[in-house]
Amino acid sequence: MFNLHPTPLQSAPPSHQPGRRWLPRVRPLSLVFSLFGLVMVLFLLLPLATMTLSVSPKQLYTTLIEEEVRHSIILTITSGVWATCFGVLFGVPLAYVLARHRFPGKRIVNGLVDLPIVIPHTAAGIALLSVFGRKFYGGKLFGLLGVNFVGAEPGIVIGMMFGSVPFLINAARDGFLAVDPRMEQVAQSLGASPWKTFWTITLPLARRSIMTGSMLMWSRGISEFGAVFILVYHPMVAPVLVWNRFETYGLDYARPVAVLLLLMCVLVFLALRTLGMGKAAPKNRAEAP
Amino acid sequence: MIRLEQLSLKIGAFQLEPLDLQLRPGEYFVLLGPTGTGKTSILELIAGIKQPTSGRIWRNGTDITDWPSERRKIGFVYQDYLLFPHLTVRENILYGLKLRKVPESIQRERLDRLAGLLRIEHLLDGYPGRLSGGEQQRTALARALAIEPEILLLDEPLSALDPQTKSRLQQELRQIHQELKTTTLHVTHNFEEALNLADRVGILYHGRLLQVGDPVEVFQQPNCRQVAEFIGMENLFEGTVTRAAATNLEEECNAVFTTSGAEFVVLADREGKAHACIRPEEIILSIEAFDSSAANCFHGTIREVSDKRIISRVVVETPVPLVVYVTRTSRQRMKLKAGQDVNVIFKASAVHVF
Repeated sequence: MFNLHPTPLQSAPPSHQPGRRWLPRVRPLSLVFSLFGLVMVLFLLLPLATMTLSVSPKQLYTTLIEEEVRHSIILTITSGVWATCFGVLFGVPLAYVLARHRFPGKRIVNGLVDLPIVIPHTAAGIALLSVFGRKFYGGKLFGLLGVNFVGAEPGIVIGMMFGSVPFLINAARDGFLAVDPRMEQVAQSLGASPWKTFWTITLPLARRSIMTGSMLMWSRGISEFGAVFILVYHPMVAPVLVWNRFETYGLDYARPVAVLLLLMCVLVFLALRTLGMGKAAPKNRAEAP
Repeated sequence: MIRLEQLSLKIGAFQLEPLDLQLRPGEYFVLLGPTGTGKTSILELIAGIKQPTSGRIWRNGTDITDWPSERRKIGFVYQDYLLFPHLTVRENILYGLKLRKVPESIQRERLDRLAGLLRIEHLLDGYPGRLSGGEQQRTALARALAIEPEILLLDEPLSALDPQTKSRLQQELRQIHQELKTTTLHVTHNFEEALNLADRVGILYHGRLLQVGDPVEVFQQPNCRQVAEFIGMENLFEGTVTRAAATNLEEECNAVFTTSGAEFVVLADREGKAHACIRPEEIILSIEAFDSSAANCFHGTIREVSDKRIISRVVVETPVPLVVYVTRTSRQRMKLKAGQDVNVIFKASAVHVF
């Protein structure tokens, strides 16, 4: 018997655009958006690629073994680590409070945390200088402890911290928010004190977000120029060194240092991705670590 | 033993009226009420997660109202289990014991016993993320029971499960309770759970504990309109009771309940405004009028017949609409359909006046 009433499923596909089945069907919207997007990709890619390719490996090597460059890179990395440590020490508790408690002025604090992201970095540097400069109260106070900010490593650390700690605080707050407060309550019903609950439940569950935030803060911190430059010209961190070479010797001398800095950041970025921490922390936290 | 004394809570618009409740040692108490009525709040008050606006909580004669949660030794199982996702099933169960630094031998012993009782031995080394709903619930129960709590609080423990898992876990809950004799307070909106598990039930409605008692008693004799409505009583009427003069009917009946449109002969020891409900399964439906000892007999027309799983629900338009349950076989044999004239008959004792 012939099937006189073929189902639509059986009849539809072949009659539709018979000769072009090997081409994926592209809607105009996707096409236009892809073309615009491509412009952006090129804009991001070309400067980085051109700069990197214009420096030979030999140039890179000779730059790397320069005493001044090596010092500068090491200084940048360690200052970034210090900034991140202080960020964790004071920023993570703040993030917890922002995630768990309601208090008057919370919106203001939340806004304040985001503020350093939007203000010009040089302005941030001037602001820091007006507290931590030798003649000002912050500078005097720390001066009693023998800590100097202007023209010294501590200045680099606070310069880096000011602009980059929002990334850590925001990530940590999101991490804490993703932990159901009732899970903490279950832990307490099982006999855990609030401290114990924090260390055994909340912190392990928010750990990924805090790590991601720390990495972000560190990467953002080591690339800080404006604020650090205002507070500390010498010793020179890598971004300041790039500027210094450009000012003193020109593009060709600045480029190898810039490429080194770039490679360093790419390396960290890749490490982040392979550790799976560069991605946003998963919403569903039911998975095994 | 847990006793709640005039416990109340007010959060925004929500209000839990002062509540008195004493749980007997080892009993399984089911607190029944519609969603959003404050059931979970009561559990959270007992567990120390929320602080009451007024009232006291007593545990074995000690006032624990101001104790922090971690000192109360109260097991709490939330509806969505809230297992610690970064710990294995074993670590979840042992969490409370490790905190208390219970000797390893005792830890092992309790773990073995609970894992065996709840049939989760094979899951101990896995992480909760890989467990089914039923397995997660068993793990959450084991975790709460491991600390040998003074009382086990269960917040809608079966609601998130599929029907098969639900009925199996319900049986297991009963077995576990028989075995361990942990005083349990289980809140739910499901009557079946209440009937199957409870030694006693309490009906909570809009923040008020309306009735406490044996489950069968509460279901058959609700003490007020809200309880009757909540447990889905059909044939609920509002009216007045008047004591009747001696009647010549064979049945012992002493009052008449008058509602708009109808009068029922009832057994009642009170007069004045009251509610009456007639259980639909105690109403007899017949096509021919027949003489019976039943005090109430009405003639009416069938308005609606709807088939349920084993019974048929028939609505008969007498002076007042009456819902009658008949078996589906009777419905077919009698060929009941809408528009048909029938007689409904019920005894005075089938009318519950409250």
